[in-house]
Amino acid sequence: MTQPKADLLQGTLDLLILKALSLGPLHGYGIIQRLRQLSDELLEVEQGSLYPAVYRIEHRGWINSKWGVTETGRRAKFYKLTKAGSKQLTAEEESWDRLALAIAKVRKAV
Amino acid sequence: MEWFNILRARLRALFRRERVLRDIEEELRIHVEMETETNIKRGMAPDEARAAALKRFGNLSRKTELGYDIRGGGWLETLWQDLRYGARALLKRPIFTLAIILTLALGIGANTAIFSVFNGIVLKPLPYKDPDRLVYVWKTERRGMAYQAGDHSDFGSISPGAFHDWRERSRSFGQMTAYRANSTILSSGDLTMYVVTIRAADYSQRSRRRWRPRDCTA
Repeated sequence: MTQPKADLLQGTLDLLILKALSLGPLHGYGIIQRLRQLSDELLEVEQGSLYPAVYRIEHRGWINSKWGVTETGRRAKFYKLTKAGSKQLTAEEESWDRLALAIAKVRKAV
Repeated sequence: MEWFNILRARLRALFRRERVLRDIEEELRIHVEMETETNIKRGMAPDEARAAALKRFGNLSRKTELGYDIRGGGWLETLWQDLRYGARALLKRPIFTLAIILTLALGIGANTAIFSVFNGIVLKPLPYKDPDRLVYVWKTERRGMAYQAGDHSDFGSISPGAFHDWRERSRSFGQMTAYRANSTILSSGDLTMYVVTIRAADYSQRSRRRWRPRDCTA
């Protein structure tokens, strides 16, 4: 746990949640786990701030929720990407790529 | 669609506040339990594992409130609470409430009445062709020349001969007509009516219009 963590840029949490759910439905705890795995343990989404973001995304209609049962037989609320959410993910990924490219170009300027 | 989803969620929360709160609470509680289990698997003692999970998650009831801020009734709930508070406060002071209701009723009623008159007289155009070109022509009496006692009106009547001259010689008007109004009180038995008749003189067309009589019982 001494490894330095990457700071989460404001506004990127939505993108990450959508991306995590694009690989299949998950409960809140699962979203954090999946993001940790996908980032090779570099990303640690703050647990308390995950749910407000998830609820907001649900309001926007990008994901929907359903109570279900986990593999270990535990009751949990699962989130699933909607069609609109999948479109939104593409849009946010493109916008993120543009931003990353722009910042890279500026950083490399001599 | 977003506003619709939010409105639907707000309305649902308004009537099932407890249910929404329990839903959030349960979701967060399960999250902490999952983290506790993970901690136990990593080798922590159960108590320690739970304490660590709780600490990591932060204040549960505070987080529940944060979630409810988004999923709950929001402004709609606040509005509903305000309405209920207002109703309770008014019911506690019936005389004050009655005074307010009467004041508002009278105010609105008076406004409506005045507007109806204003609308009929000023705003609504007259039911004739080119109402903006209609004018009223009258003769003014020289001071002290009123031919009827108590008639100090500037709207003096004219004689048929004078009207004929006006009509023939004036070039400013397309058409001109004169009218004569009479008012009569008719009574029969215990019913008394005030009747106004107006007769307009027009060479091309004689028309007679009778105003709706006003009934009054005397």
